[in-house]
Amino acid sequence: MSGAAGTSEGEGNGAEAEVEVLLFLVGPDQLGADASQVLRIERPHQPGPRRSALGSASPKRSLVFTCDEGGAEGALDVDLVLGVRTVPTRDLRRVPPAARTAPHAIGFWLDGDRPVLLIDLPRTLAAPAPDIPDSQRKAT
Amino acid sequence: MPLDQAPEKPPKKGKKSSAPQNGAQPPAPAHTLAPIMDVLRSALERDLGARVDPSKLDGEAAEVGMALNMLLTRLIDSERRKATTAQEIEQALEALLQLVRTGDLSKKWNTQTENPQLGPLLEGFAKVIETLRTFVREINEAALRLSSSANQVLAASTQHETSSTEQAAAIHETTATMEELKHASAQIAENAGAVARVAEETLGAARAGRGAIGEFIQAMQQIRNDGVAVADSIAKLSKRVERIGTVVEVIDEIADRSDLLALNAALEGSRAGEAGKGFSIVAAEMRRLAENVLDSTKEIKNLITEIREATAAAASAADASKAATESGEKLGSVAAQSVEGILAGVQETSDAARVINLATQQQRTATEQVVASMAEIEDVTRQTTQASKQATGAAAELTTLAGRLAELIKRFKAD
Repeated sequence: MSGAAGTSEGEGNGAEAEVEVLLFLVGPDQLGADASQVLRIERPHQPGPRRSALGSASPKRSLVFTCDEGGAEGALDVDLVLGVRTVPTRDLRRVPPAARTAPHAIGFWLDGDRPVLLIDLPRTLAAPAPDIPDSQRKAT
Repeated sequence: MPLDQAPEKPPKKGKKSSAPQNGAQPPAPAHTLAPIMDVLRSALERDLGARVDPSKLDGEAAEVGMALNMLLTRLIDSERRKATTAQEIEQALEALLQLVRTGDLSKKWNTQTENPQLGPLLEGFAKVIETLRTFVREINEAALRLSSSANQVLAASTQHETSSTEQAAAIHETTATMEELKHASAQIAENAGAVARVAEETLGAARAGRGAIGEFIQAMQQIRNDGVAVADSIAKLSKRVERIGTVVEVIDEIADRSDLLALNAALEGSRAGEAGKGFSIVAAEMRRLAENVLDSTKEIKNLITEIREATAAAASAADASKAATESGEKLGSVAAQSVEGILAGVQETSDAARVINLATQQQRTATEQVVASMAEIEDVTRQTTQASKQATGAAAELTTLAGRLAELIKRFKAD
């Protein structure tokens, strides 16, 4: 995980390491991101549907974060912000390199039996939106 | 020997005519009346031919003898005339008998007679025969006329009998027809009475229908007024609902801001580490409240939507009800007008049915009277037919008698 600021390092005193994960929905998919990357949460600046590398969304919230070293801000529109969860690092899994087709997907969090995809917000913003098959255009 | 054939024997002078033939008695003296007595005795024995010989008498006896002779001569003449008269009477009677026997009056009646006393009788007979001839002519002519008239009477009577029979048949048929007409009139009268009753009932029903339509129109007006009130209430309810929606939108906005604020507070709490735990808990609780509010406002919005749809449907229904009631009122007015027309028509129908009922009653009575009169006429006609048959029989008998009379009259020839 790259977000070291969102982790609670407790290895020195034997405590289990934890990380703060911001959970949100894009379409039907539940996703997660390092909460320390998010500067604030706002309403989307423009109403209406959006498309991003994560898919289509009818956003009600916009995640504002720092894009680069210069401190420029970017925003990712999401449907719904579910909240911030403190997650033990042992529950996190890296995505195998062979299966890493999307550069913004960095790992999984197993919420019980359900895996939640963890993404890197700046990479996600930089990634192009995937082409939508004609059979799914109406659905989106 | 008849008197008219007895020869006159003049007495012979100088000879005693009255002397006995046998000469047994002595000749009478001249001064006796013996010759006279002899002649008288012969005359009494119807021998008028004997005469007194005056020469054998003297004096007055001779004169008496001569007078006796003259008397006997005259008596002979008289007897001859009587015989002639009797013969002429016998001939006349024979002629009358022949006339009666043959009836031939055409022959000329002989009135010539030597007896002047018989002349008037024959002339009387001639007049009687002439009168009979005239009677025969007239009777013959009358018999011919009678025969012709009897034939005409018979023909007329036969014709009359035929006509009477046909008339009786026609009257019988007419009576039967009138009898059927009487039954038909009675049936018509009953039907007319039923129609009059039905028309009266229909009139009552139409009046009741008029009242019901009036009540219907009033009910429609009441429904329209109620519908207007309902529409007003629905409009007010719609405004209230819109106001509630506005308030809910404000609450929703506040809840959304609260949610956003809570999310950012949770982010800040996560950055604060262990120190921000409490802050994060408060933020989460605040966010849960905001979400509850959002859920509630969402539910309220759904309810408002349902209420809007319901009020719209109610308004539409109220409008439709209003339009329906207005249409109902118009239809009721039209129906009322129609019922008024129907009522007027039914009233006329009822009046007409009543008049028809009365007329049919009168017709039935009149028909019954006609039937009774026809029965009397039929009875009279039957009697007339019977009389006509009797008259025909009498005419036929009269014709026969006229023919018989003509045949009888033909026996008498007048010309």
